[in-house]
Amino acid sequence: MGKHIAFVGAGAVGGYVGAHLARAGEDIALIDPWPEHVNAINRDGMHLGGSQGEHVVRVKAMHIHEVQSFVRKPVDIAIICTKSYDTEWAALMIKQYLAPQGYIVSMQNGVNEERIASVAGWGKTVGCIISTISVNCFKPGYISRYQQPGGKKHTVFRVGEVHGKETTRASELAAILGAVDSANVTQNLWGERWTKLTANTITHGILGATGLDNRIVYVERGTAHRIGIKLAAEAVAVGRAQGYQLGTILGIAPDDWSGADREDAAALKRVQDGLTAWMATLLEPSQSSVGRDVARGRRSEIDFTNGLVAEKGAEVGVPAPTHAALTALVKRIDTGELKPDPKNIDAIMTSAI
Amino acid sequence: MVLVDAWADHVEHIKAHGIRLTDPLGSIVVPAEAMHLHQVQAFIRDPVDIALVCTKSYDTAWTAKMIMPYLRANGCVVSVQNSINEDEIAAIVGPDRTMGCIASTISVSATGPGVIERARTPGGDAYTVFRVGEMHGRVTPRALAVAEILSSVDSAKVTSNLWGERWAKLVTNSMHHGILGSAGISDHQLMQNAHTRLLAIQCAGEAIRVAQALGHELEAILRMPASLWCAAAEGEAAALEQIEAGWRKWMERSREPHYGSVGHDLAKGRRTEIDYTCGYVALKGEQVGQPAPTHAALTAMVKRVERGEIERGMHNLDVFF
Repeated sequence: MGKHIAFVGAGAVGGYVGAHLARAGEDIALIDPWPEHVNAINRDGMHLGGSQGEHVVRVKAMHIHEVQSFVRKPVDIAIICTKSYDTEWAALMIKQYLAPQGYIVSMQNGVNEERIASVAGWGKTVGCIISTISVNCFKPGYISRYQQPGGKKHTVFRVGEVHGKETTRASELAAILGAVDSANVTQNLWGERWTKLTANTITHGILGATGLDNRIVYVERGTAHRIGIKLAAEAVAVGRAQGYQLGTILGIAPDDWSGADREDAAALKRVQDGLTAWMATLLEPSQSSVGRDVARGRRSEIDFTNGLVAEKGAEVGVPAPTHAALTALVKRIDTGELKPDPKNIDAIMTSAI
Repeated sequence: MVLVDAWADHVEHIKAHGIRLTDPLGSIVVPAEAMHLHQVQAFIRDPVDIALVCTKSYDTAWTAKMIMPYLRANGCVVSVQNSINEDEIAAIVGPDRTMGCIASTISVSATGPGVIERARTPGGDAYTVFRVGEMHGRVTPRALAVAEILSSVDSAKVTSNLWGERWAKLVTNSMHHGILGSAGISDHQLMQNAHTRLLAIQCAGEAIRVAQALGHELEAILRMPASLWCAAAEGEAAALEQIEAGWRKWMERSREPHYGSVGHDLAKGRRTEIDYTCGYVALKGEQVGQPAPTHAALTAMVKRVERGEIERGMHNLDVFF
């Protein structure tokens, strides 16, 4: 208690987590560039819904032009929840208002700690992985969670220092986040990041390119889910080549993903059963963040999810051609050259399977 | 042309009603495309050739970072701000994509959503308002193109001496901002009081010495040469007399009292640009070994007002007299 916490980006993740923390009595400011959203929160409160109940929360929301007022009230913990492509400017903007012991936390998809450190310094940079929260901001001031709380079974918030030590500030942040859902301090920030990235990249590119949802791809299980397995296997290989210790991906062991990709029947069955079990925790199917952005005509994060796997793969000499092909496809959709369509992945299907 | 702004009401007003521009000669309403910050990502479909940065100086770095991914391959970023921000922009987008443009005594303020008022008559042929320059000083086709575009607003030229122009404007700003902010007085009151007038001239002298130590060749300050300001600051009676006369003449162009951007921000309870005017002079002075103690002291004072620790008032300046 007593920390001044600013969420930079109060969309689905920032708005959901920030408003729950405000409900728990924390001193929260939600900063967002979407004016209708900020005005709605200030006028009517934030409406939280879904798997953790309906709540209307009074929480302070701020427009970007109001950030300068922090000169009178510095920020102890700045939590960045923007799209990955907005990371650096968000960090540059907020770092001027950090209290002397203040620090910046990435609570985003992708791997953005390095970007934040380039702006604020490594000592001021902390990571927090959210392991599957499934939230959506479907209209100004309204955010819903579509996935059952992790609780004791599954730790949702994993706070980590870049060096892996369990520091006072990391423990303190995990304790704060515990008011929202299960939280711990991880000594394996980089491995956890890559694990989560792998999980995201299984869905982001395919759902973005096709306009399908994850239920169609992973439960009804046409051939598209085989591309998902290929993506997971490539991402696992690239992660391991970078020296990362990977955890389970959507509840499925990394070796099972690799085995399924090599046509190992037992591994394939474990992956398929795992996917079914995983999908059962969702209240409703999801298009993933990339799929939603594509549907809304917004720029997607593809460069920072599937694109990052392809890029790092090239760096360490472990090719990730499926990630590269999907990234190129979604970027053509981002720039308006192409529309989402299940047919878009036909060529990838032919070459990958 | 697209206007991007963080002030939502302003953007909404411009979208719905256009933007009202007023100056002493009249008033017009212009339809313009305006955009909120969360819409900037749409530039992925329509990249930017020229990004003019017109934010407060403390918003420079993140603004440059925000717009960078949406620049065309040969696109550039132009600082049309107070203070000297080209280096900060260059550190982000690269020096070859960075340009500067001094808006010399444009005297505009946004008085409400969708309304901009200009306090001065246009410079026209008598006075060049926009001075576009490359950091390396060469007159390039793109600098000429930017000046040509801006000439439809008011007089514009390409300068080969961006740094000298920048510092001349910074000397003018920094001799006013700290004093007006700390004391809560107007530029007219500053000039009418012998104590504050001499304090301002002392500020000008300090800032000019810093610029010269950095190797810059200053352009005229309130239409008077840097050497004359320095002589006045060192107490030469004849120089002081000329400076005071020239300054008075300069003020005739502006009959309305001005409180400076720092004064305006303090009155509104907003963060000021003091770190980027007086504070910048003090910082650069320290780096180059040419101290600017008056600027340092005024900066510290304005920052205390900013944080709400002290009130504005003439009494704050007693330490200098």
